[in-house]
Amino acid sequence: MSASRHPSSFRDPSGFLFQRGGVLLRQINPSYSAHYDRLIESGLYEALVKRGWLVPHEEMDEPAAANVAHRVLKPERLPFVSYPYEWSFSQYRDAAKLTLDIQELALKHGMTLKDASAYNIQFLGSRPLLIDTLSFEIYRVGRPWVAYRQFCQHFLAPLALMSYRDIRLSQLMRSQIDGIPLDLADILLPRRARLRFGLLSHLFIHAKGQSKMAHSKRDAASYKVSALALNGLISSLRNAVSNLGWKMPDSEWGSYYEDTNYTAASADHKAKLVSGMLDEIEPSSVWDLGANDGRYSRLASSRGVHTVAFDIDPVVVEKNYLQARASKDPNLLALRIDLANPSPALGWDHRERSSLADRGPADAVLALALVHHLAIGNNVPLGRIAAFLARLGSNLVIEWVPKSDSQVQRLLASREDVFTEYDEGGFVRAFGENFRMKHSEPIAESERVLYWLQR
Amino acid sequence: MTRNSLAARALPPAVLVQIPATSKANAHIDPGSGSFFVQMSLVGLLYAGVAIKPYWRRTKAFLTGRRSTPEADDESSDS
Repeated sequence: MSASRHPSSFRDPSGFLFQRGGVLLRQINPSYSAHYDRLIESGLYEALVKRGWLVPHEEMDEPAAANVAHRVLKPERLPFVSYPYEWSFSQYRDAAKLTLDIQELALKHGMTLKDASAYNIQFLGSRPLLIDTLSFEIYRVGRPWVAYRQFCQHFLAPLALMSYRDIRLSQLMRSQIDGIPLDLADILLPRRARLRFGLLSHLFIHAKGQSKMAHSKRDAASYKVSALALNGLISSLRNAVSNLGWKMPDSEWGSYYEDTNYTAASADHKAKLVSGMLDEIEPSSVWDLGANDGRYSRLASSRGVHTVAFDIDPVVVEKNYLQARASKDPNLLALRIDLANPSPALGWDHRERSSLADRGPADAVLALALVHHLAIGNNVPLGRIAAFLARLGSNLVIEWVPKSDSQVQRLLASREDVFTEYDEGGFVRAFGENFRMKHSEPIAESERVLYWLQR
Repeated sequence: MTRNSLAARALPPAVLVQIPATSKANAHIDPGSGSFFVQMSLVGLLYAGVAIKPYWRRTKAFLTGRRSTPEADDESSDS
C-alpha cells in the first residue's frame, strides 16, 4: 500500500505525517529518536495526555513511509482542523495559555517545546490540545527558549492587536504564515499598550532588539538562561496573555434572535423540523453556516454529532465558544468564517493550510436564514450559492427566505432591487442543478420554507 | 508568591543567566539572535521587578496609609 506524505508536514526534520490506506500516520525519523524516547520515558507524554493537552497516539508496527523510521505513530484523528485566523478571541487566548502550560510541564520533565506554532494547537469541541508530538526536545541546561520569538509572533502579537486595536486584525494571520512580525505589531499597536510590562518587554523591546541584533555575528549558542529564569519568562508571558481582554461591542448579529420576525411558535417549529431532518440524515459531521450563537448547531451537537458552527461575526462566535466551553461541549466547535470570502489554501505550494472547502465535505450542511444574505447582501447568484454549498456537504438543510420577508426587505431598504431571479421558483431551479429534493416544509407562522436537499 | 518569584528573589541575576549551555539545540525554527538577546535581558529585568515590587508596595502603603499585606507583597510582578 503506497504512502502519501501530508502536504503541510515538511519543515521539521524530526518526522512527518503521511497517509496510508486512508489512515493518518506520523513517522519519527532516527534523528529524533532520543527526544521521542525521553518524551515517553520521562512521563511527559502520559502527563500531557492525561490532562488532555496532547493528542494521544498508538505506536504502530508499520513500515516507514520514507527511508528508515525510529517509530511510526497513529495519532487520534481530529474531526476538523481549524486555523488561528478562524478563532474567536477567547479561543486564541486559550490556545496561547495551553502552549505556555505545556512548556512549563515540559520543563518539569526535562524537556522543552522547540516550536510554538499556533497551527500546532487544535480544538476538540471547545477544548484546545497540541497535535504535534514532535514539538518536544530534551532541555539543555542554559539554553534559552528557542520558540520564544515564534510564541510572540503567533500568539502575543495577534492577541495584543485584537485586544488593543481591532478584533478583525486576527486576519493578519492569514497573510503572515509565520505569525505577525514584531516590528509590524510595534507600528500597529497604540502607545498605551507600552504601559503593560508584558507587552512592553515581549513585543516592543523585543521588536527593537530584533532589529538591533539583526546583523550580530554573535553565536546564538553563547546566550545562556537558567531553567529558573526560563520559568520566570514563561510566567511573564502567561501574565501578558492573561491580561489581554476583549470587550465585546454591540454587533449586528449579537441580538439577531431578539430582532427577527419569528414568533415563538415558528422558532419552535423550525427547530423541530431541523431536528427531524437531522434524525433522518443521521450525519457523522455537520457544518452550520451562519450559525449565529449556535442555537441550531446544538440540535446536532447534542445528538453526539461533531458540529462546526461558522459565523462572520466575531461577537457571536465568541459567545458561542464561551457557551460551548462553559458546558464542556465535546462536539461543538465555533469558528469565524466569512462565507463570501472563506479561508483560502495558503502557504507553500498552496497546500500548507487547506481552504474551507478542502476540509470538507461534511455529511450535512445547515444553511438557516442564510441564503438572502449571500444572494442579496453579497450579490451572489442562487446558482453559484447552490454550487458552493454542494461542495461543502452531501446533505443540505436550507431555509428559503422570500423577498417579502421583513429581513429581506431590510436588506433592500437602501438599495435598488436588481434581484429579479430571487424567488422560490428560481431557488428550486438553481438548487435542483446540484441537489435532489428530499423533503420540504413551510415553517409555521412565517413565509419561510425549510428544504432538505441531497447531492 | 509563586515558587518562581521566590526563587528568583533568592538568587542574583548573574546566577540566573550564566549557567553554561552544554550543546546546541535540535530545533528546526530560527530563534533569532535578537530574540535570544531580548530573552536574556528580560531575565534581569524580571528579577529586578520581582525584587523591587514588595518595597514599592510597602512604600505605597506607607504613603496612602493603607496596610501592606504579605499576600499583596507576594504577588508576582511581571505584568
